[in-house]
Amino acid sequence: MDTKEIKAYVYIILLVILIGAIIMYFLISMIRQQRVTLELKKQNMRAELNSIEKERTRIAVDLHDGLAPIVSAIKLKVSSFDLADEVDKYQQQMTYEHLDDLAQRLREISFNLMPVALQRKGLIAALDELASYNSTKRSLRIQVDATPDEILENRHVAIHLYRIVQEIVHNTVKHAEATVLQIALYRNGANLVLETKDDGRGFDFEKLKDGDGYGLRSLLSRADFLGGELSIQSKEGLGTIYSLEIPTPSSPL
Amino acid sequence: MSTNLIFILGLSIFIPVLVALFRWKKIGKAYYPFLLLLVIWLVNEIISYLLIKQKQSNAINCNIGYLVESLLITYQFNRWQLFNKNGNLYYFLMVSFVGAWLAETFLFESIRHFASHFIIFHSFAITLLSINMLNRLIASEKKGLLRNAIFLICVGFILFFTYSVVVETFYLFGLSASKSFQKAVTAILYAINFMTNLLYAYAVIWIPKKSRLMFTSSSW
Repeated sequence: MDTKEIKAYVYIILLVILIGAIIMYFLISMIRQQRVTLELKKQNMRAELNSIEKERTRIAVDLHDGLAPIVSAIKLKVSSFDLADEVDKYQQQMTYEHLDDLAQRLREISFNLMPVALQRKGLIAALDELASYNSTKRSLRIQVDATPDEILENRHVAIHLYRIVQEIVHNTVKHAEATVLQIALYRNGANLVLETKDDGRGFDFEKLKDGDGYGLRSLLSRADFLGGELSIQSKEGLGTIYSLEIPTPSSPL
Repeated sequence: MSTNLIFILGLSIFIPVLVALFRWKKIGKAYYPFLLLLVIWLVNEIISYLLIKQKQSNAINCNIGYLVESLLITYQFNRWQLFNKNGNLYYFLMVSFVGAWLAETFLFESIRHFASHFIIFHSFAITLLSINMLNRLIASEKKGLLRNAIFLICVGFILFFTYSVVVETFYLFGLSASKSFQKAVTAILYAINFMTNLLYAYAVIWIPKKSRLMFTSSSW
């Protein structure tokens, strides 16, 4: 290379460095911006989920502690009427049964909104209650294998884990045609693992339509919120396995 | 820069291929076009080395490689659902690449000459597609970008193809320079290629598991 070419080459090298610097600046600012946006999104989601849970708790408590006793009192009152006429007796019986249905529905709604067991006894008790409820009301038998752990004392984590299980149970009942659903909750090193496995018909991801993804999106949102990884393995005819691994929370979420 | 050194730098593409082989069972199908591209790049490097050693031109295999590369990368972007809302653009790009390549290699030039215009055209297009992909990731990705395989691969594309445009433009308009000068300029691209190959290897490590792939926010 002659002097001219060496000079040109130096310019080219400078140009290359300049382009590199511009690209790097562009990428770094992009990563920074994404981090800021992500943190904002997380804060918004946290606030939104917390307010939803608070509202659910309030409604559940109102239904459970406010309305349910009133319905029970009315039931008691109705059953105490001493009627002579057969038609009146029949009407009394019908009214009693309607009130009974109403009380039952109130309990179910309250339970779905926020189980009292989750509030008062913790996650494992709530999962046992969910299992017992589904075994009684539906043909799905749920087996819970959970290790009591101080991590589950974290109320926020417990609520989100419960909601995830609730959604999985809902999906299993609605779509899987399964008879057994196994739920395992255990510690894996510094992480907490939630695994569920059903013996249902499974599903093919490729065949899912847009609207079908709503429940799964909700699962993903909560998994992301907990800083965890959610994986779902499913094949038609071979059941579905949900696996969520979250880091042990060091501070309340 | 000697042929052997160029070959060694080029062979660095073997690193991401090796990582992909180790992780093969865990890699989701959506990334298969990229993995195939890595293998094609590796094969092309070996063929080029052998041809150059025999004092023959590697233009033919490189030209074919450029076409396959452009089509595979565009297909890869399609698998990442970049063209979801604009399917026509995908087909337009595919047809444009094939058309431009045929025009340059058979109509205006020969397949025995490096298709510089086509390289500039497809490098520019891939760089723009990569920037689009990054913009989508910023909005949809819920985790750190530095552990996102698509982000890392796109960064690699942007780096390599931007320099590719610069070097090829120089080739087109700087032919009066001496051979040694041209070689020195091309050496910059080899160095960039080496760095991007390491970046691809790192990206392959972060390609998500098959099942997890179904649940990236962009795929729903």
